[in-house]
Amino acid sequence: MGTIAVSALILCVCGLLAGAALALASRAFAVQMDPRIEKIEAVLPGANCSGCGSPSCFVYASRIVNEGASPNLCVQLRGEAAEEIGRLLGREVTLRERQVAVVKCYGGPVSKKLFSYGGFQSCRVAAYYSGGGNACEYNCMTLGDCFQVCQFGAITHTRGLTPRIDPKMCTGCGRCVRECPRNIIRLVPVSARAHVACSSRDKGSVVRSICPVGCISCLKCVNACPQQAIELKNGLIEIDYAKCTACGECLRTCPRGIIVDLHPDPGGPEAVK
Amino acid sequence: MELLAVFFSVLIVNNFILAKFLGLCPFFGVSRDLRSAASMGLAVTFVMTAASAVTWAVNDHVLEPCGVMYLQTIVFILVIATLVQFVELVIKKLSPMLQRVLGIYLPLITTNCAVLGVCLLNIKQNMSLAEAVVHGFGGGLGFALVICIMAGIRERLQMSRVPLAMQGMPISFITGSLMALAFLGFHGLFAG
Repeated sequence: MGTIAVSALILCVCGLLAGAALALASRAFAVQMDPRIEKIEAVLPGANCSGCGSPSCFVYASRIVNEGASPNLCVQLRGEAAEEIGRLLGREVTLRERQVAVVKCYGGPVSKKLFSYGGFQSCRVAAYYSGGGNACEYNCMTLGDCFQVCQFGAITHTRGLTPRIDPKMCTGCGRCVRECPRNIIRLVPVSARAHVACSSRDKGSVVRSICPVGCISCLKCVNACPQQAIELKNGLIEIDYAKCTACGECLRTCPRGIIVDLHPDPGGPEAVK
Repeated sequence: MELLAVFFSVLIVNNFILAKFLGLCPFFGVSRDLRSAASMGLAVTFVMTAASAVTWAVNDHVLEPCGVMYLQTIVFILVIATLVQFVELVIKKLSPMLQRVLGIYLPLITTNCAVLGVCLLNIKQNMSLAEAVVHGFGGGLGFALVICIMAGIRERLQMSRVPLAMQGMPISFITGSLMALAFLGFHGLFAG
């Protein structure tokens, strides 16, 4: 009996002392945190997608408050939530247009192969082994690393085919953009229509010899655009979406048929917003 | 000299992970990339050193005089948990930098068996305070060393072709056991 009593007593005393010490310590070493951080974190989506550049929503919230980071970096924030943050901060918040990821290549499955790649089925690894046997240095290797990193289920992928990104599900967090070893996934505004589905910087003759759907830099689209929205920059055809009016002239002119409408369904971009 | 022997013996010969098989959960759970493994190792080294000193004092001044040595395990758990919580509070206040490095790893190892193991071994082997602290520090460093090696290997493993049935944990277990075999080679280093 005595043993049990002594054990219980000593343990109780130890526990009480420890509790008291922790209580005192938490008082003595209390850290003042801006209450707005917690409130802003509650408004943020909480997906921790790191699309804003911060590792988590909490870090982003503290950056908004402490370092004056812009509240509209969050790619998933919708109208009301952004206004709520503006109210908490006492500043005006302007929403930016939602971005979606698009793959700038259709040639993955059809372009020329130099050898049959049998290594580890990952784009990142294949890129080390002569691009997984692809003759084109800029094509989609179709092994689906982007599909692996997408947290929102926006990417569907079958091995051997180019991944498809659903603009309805895509939040524009940019994970796939950073993951792609070939840098051929790009973020565009959700309202963008014309899309050049090739990332090759090779000369026209080279492209023609290795890929049936590669851009040969013929500049027909550049000349056809009534808004002068299309340019050849560093060997790539770039479309300035601020100028583009979606007239469709470039789609009809492209001899390779690789300028496509991102929203071919009736309703256009409004349908996926 | 004796301290040095204690230090190196627990660092490699009697390594906590590979010779005593303590602290295996973080060894497999947090060894996926080198950065988090290094943070974990740092946190464990820190906690082991501090816990060795504190539990030695508690044992010497509370448990022994009261004659309740059989309470060691439960009291040590209590003391370590309190200590870690306390240290976390202090770090949060004094050094946000350090807090960012140790981050979530500090509270994670409050109930780590390697930490408890080092404290109980200190008492079992009748160590002095200095020996206990060195023992804890060396044990923690040994843990950090092994978990970092493991993380390095696993980073390379991700890039290699592993048969489907062996992917993930199975190949990690095998890697771990091969490392234990390799460390077995150090046995007898301090015997002669």
